[in-house]
Amino acid sequence: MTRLVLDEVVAIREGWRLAAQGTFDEGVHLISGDVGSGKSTLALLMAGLLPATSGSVKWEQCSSQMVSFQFPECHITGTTVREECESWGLDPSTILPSTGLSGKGDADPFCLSRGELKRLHLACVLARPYDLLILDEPFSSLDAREKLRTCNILSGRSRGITILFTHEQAILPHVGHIWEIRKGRLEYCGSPPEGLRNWQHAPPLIRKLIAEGKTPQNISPDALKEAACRT
Amino acid sequence: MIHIENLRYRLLAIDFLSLNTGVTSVIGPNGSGKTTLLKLCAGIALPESGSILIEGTTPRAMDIGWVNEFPDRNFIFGSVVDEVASALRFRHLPPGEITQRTSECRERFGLTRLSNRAVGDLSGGEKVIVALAAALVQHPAILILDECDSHLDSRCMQTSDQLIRESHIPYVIRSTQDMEAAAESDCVVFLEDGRVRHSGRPEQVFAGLCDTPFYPLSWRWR
Amino acid sequence: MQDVRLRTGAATLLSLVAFYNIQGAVAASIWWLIFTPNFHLIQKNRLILPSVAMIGVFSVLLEVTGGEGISYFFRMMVVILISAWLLSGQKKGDFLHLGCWLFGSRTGFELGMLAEMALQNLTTLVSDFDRIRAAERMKGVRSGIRSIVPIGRVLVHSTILRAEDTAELLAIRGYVRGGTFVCAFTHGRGDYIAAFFALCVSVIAIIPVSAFFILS
Repeated sequence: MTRLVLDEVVAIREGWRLAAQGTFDEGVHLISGDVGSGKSTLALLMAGLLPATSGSVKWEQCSSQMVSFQFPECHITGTTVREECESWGLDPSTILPSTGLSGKGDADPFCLSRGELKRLHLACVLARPYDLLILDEPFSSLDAREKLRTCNILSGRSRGITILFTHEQAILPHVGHIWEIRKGRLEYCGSPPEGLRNWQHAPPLIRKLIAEGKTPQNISPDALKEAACRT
Repeated sequence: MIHIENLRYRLLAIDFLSLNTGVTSVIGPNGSGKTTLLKLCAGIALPESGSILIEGTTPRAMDIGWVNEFPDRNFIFGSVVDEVASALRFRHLPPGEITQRTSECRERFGLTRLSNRAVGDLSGGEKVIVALAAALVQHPAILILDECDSHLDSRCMQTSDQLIRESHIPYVIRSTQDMEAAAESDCVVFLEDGRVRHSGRPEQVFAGLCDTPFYPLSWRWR
Repeated sequence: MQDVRLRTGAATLLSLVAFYNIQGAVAASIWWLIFTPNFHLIQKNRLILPSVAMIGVFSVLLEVTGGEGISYFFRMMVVILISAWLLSGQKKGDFLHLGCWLFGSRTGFELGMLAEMALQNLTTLVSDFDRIRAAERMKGVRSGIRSIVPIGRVLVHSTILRAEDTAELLAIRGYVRGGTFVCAFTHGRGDYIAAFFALCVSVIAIIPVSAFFILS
């Protein structure tokens, strides 16, 4: 079984410190935290792209991994949208229709709007069965419709570890575990529904439902709706 | 009142739109023309035809505050103090007046302790507050925010909303993908394919969107 | 050296004499060893080694084609080391103070602002480069010529986008030409001594050796 273990990991930069300890099993993990709390740094540490100041990151039975950066431009290597799909080892004829970019196969990826580029990038990343997939702010630049579509794909990911760094407040996928960065330390809140009560960065909607005694089973829009309609 | 008439610019086509004072949220799918509309309202772009008049004046003839989507791309200078003072310096105001107004502004936005810090070393939330301070130091009549909430956490959004409210700007126009925030606005404009599909009070606009993901989640069970 | 006027003046003078002749380069490198944190600079600045490598390639080409490649390499390396020292002590806003002190609140302000923006861009380009390279590695793109082209495209694209954003900010904030600015400078204890020796080094390097000795 694929596992990611953070063993007393500490990252220190000028005037700033982040400590992380924990084990990530297969499933969807959501990590939240204030802007500037170190989410992107933690993503890089988890992927082995940044060395920790102390401690170690261990990957068990993890043969493929990917970090999706917040800005999709960083990932572009193709000169056309079609080439970009192929650079991920994917067939453009299957990817482009799902992103609404069928007519733009020959376009330069840099000529796409930010939303279109993010859509294309996420479609490519989510089409591959990575053992470890880290997504840094996957919902930024997406409209509500695309956020919902992306959440449905993420909720359906059955294998591997998916780690989601986001501060999205409304449209979220079905997750297995919730973590958050508090005062420079990664803390495990737990699995929903119990973990929601420990989640200090919970979106206002979820906090409201909990306060009303209607703790949702999970954080997806359907789960929130079910909780809200509960009598 | 902001009056937009027979506006044409690239894909944007708005025959008539009027906005009252208060907070207006511009919403819509990716590529619907939200940023284009905001840039026209800010005077960054000029309409190919038609007009935008704010209290009877064209945008380029007014002081306008602008904050764009990315916290890192709202800066001209490297230090907080230079950034906040920039609009006043560009207008060649006397040094004494610049010092007084920027000090007041930094104090109001809680930036005094950050004055000598490099903007690159600030957290994302602090960057947005500095960008807001730089936009509001000249007391503009209109503040335009282009999806600047899309990279912020909820606490940071609350802080920036509070600072904007306390600044008593007559017109605040923001584009957003946060429908919960849009539902709290005084007015909502829903754009699709460059056209205004719905505009008015949030209740009116979202009534026409209840079968779409753009309908605020919290409204589905209120 | 804290005073940006002395630092920039010394760096300009030393760079010129280092490039002028080999004696100048030797003298400037001795000054660099004595008055700067020298080898710490090389460890801290990631741009030094790639720059020296690039100069190395040009120097080899120059040597092969009959030019003075070795001399060029040494002189340029000293210029790079002096530049690295200049930038290592740079605080945000320093160039704005220097520009306005030298050329006033119109042209000087603009030159200072340009320098500030260029420095910020340099820092951003380095972090963008790291991120793009990491993204390429995860995609399985190996280092080499084939990986450089996409990196260049992304960097050019993001620089253009940033330039557009900056232009918008300048327009919105009412920039037309120059701006009000009050210059202020701070001095370190050894500033004047280091600057004095930079001047001495430059004079010694430029004046012919025969001028110091009475040769029969």
